[in-house]
Amino acid sequence: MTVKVRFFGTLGGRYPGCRKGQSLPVEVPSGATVQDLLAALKLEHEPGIVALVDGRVVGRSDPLPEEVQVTLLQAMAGG
Amino acid sequence: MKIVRVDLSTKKIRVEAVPERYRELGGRGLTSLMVNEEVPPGCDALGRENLLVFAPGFLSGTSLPNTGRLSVGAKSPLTGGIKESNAGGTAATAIARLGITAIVLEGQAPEGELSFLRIDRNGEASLEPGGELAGERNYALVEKMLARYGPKTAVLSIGPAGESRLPSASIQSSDVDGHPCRAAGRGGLGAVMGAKGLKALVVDQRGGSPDPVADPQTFRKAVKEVIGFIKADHMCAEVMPKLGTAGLVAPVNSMGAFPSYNARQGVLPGWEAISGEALAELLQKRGGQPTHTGCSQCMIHCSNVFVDEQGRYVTGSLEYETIWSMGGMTGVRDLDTIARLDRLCDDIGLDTMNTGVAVAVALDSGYRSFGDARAVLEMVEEIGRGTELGRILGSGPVAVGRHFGNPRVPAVKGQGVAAYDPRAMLGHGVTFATSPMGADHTAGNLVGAYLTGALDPLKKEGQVDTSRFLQIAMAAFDTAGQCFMASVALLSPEAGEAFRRLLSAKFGREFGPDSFPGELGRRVLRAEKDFNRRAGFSKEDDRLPRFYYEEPLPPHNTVFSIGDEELDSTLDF
Repeated sequence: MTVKVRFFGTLGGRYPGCRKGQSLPVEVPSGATVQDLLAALKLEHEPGIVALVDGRVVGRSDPLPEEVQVTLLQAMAGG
Repeated sequence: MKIVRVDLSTKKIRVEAVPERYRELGGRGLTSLMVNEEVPPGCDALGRENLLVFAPGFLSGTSLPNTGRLSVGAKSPLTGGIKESNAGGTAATAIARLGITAIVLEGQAPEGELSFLRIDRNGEASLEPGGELAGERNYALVEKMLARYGPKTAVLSIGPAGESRLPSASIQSSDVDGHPCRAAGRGGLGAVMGAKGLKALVVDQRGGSPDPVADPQTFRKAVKEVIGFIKADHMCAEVMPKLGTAGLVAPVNSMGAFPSYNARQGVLPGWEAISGEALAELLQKRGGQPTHTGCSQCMIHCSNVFVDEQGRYVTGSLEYETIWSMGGMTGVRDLDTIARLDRLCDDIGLDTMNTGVAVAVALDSGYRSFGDARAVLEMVEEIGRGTELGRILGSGPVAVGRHFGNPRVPAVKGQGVAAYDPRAMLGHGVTFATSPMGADHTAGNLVGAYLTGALDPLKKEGQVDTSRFLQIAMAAFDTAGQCFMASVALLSPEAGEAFRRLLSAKFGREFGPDSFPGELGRRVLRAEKDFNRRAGFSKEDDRLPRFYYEEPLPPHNTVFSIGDEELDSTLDF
């Protein structure tokens, strides 16, 4: 299935054309998890990665629904 | 170490050794304990009985990086309660390296009289006549002071807003480049300085007599350990230097908690145009600085230098909270306009947060339309000119709501909220409601806990406990003079141990597990709550405005749901 991924933080610079949140289509097997998506993007060992779906933070073991849009960014503290 | 007391009524300056009751304190701990002990809680915040206390943290001026934070404390004319307003820049390190623990302004100059306080490289303080500086905006003022005293000078100053005693007036702090772009913005302490008749505090940065360290060798070793934790922290090492705090625009919008259009929506449509990513790209393209060292002793470099299309300096340290207040709340999605608004506020001497919220309440009342950049610029200029509307806007969001008869005022204890909507980030509502400071962005900020998945922002569980933990921790780190960003990297048990080893070496006594941040943070908060209680605050003041409980916030369509009893348990110690 195809997952549309938007990148923010300092991640966008790694994917041409995605610096300002433009979507990147990523192919993953049906039933893939967030961890599988990160692995496909070679981000599984990157520290501080946060995945969001529909405005909620999702865990690495959470399955990804069909046609989903995922936002990937980095954890920050506020102030 | 010494305290310099300046009586503006008599023009007398006296220097005293730090009394026993204030030993081992600095920053917020010192300002809050001193205000609680020495200021009558019922006094007029703009009268002679109030104090204005400037205190670097107890680690400022040492070899520990990221300790260039200054606490400014007083009774607030905005909230009517105790206030500690925290600023970066160069002043904290400069004051600490002169061996000064605090500078305390007392009394009040005769009406119309203005002076500035000069502290030379020997730590000698003198009051200088400043009548010719009346009405001066901060950029021109600082330029004059640097021309007169040299580039190694730190300046804390007020603009026309402070002189006019407006409750949103800031005290601006010059950065390493000599720009007054850092601010003790919150709580209207610029008005207190204006009421005292002091235009500026001008401090030589070349002092060489900081507070001694009890065990220098162990201290040096502990400093290296602490630096190691900060370097290993992904936010401090990667995100902050590249995007600064503006990097929060994306995550908070993505979580539906970015208060927009006077907190009517949790996502600003088109927020990508004012994101940290867009800001960094724009500054790279124009030759500005997306990465910049703004404060003395900084190793994180979260600051930036914003330039216009011709590459000319506009403002420095354009922060997340300002991008939100001047962008999200007003619906202005243009970084150039937001940067101009930031510059205007710094120049006039205004808290960008309180001012942005005040403008948003006016727009929400139908005064002008959301997204009307020209109107927003004119409104802030009106504050600088001191027009009738300008004085209302400069008095903060509650005054604006009263003027327009609009009850939708996002403020607690009179202070405008910060950039995290309590309906989509419940714990921020707990902090806004219960912090003795009023709604505050650093007092106990939970966004990191939400992003790491440690806490669900929409579920009640854990919000009160996490807010309490962070409020206590920040009160302690603010006392040390440690920058918020570095403090976040030091919240793990291992880093906390290293930090306590550093404190033991500094003070020559053992710091046990609960001594820092727990015991110190609770001591500071108890003093702040005590002042507010004696000033007439009750539990009813620890509540959010009604609309947060009644009006669902899109896109999650949730309301604030933490009960009053739970709120009251937050700082019940």
